[in-house]
Amino acid sequence: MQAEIAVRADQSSEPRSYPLRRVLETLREVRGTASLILRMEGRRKIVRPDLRPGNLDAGLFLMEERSVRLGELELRGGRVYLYGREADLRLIDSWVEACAAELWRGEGLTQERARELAEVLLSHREQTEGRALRAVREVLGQEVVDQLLSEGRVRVRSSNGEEYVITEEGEVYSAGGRRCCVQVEGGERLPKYDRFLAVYLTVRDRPEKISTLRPRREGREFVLRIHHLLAELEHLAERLRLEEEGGQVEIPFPVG
Amino acid sequence: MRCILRKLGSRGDELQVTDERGLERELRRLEGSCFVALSVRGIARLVGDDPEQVMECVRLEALRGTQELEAILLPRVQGG
Repeated sequence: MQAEIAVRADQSSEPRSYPLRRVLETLREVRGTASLILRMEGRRKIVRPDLRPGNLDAGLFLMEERSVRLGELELRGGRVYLYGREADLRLIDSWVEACAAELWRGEGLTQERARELAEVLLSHREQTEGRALRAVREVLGQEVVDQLLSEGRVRVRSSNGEEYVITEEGEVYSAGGRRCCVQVEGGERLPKYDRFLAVYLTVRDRPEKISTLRPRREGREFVLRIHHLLAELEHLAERLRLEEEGGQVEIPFPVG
Repeated sequence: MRCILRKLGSRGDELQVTDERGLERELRRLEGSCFVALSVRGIARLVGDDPEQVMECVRLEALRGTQELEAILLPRVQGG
């Protein structure tokens, strides 16, 4: 999929990057492939440069519009790439915010300046994630790191006997594919491999700390069990009735 | 026993070398605000967030003759 997405960045308001975030989140979740050309557009009110007492009838202000192509985002296998380097949604948000601020500074934002801003953020992220990945290697071993880098997820057997899959983003899935809702304190601000390490160790060694990992019985199981119990009660009631030779049998609780 | 305290976080790894008493002081200061995993000879295990429980494990390791362990401070994880 190829598309062009425009982010509004009017001077008087915050950049509206929510639609972009929604698109990226959805494509990431379905592990879709896409190439998105990002453009920033904005407008601001300025006092007319040719203002004179004689031409005030034409109005005090002009609307100035600016538009610049920021760059290209690629999505592949659930990952986002900016200028060919892996990025995350938080980085994209920061980059869009920085570009919006630069759009109205001096002569305005250029494509080269947008790229410079991206490079700074991407380099910082790579350093932070590199350090976090080293911590995963030192604590969990090379095998886990290899699996993380090649598949983006690892399987782990928990001390509760269950098997889980943990993604590099720290998402947890049961062996049956059910997503288990897990929260990491301060998770949004943490490097993803730090989040992963915390989740991995907790799921493996102390799953009881995570309430959503408790096995959930299917509702159908309960319904079947109730039917069995009711059938047994009816049978017992019938036997009692026969033994009492036609007498009334009271069931201590409602049936049916 | 040599205790290496590893603090993860967005600002980077922080490694601090201390002893059992130093480790206990730091855990009490944190007041259970993070999970602690103990790593001995390269094998890590999450203990929990209770400083008393963590120190119990550390004392056990000392009795086993362990010369060095690493205490990794992790963010708390819970069901969402």
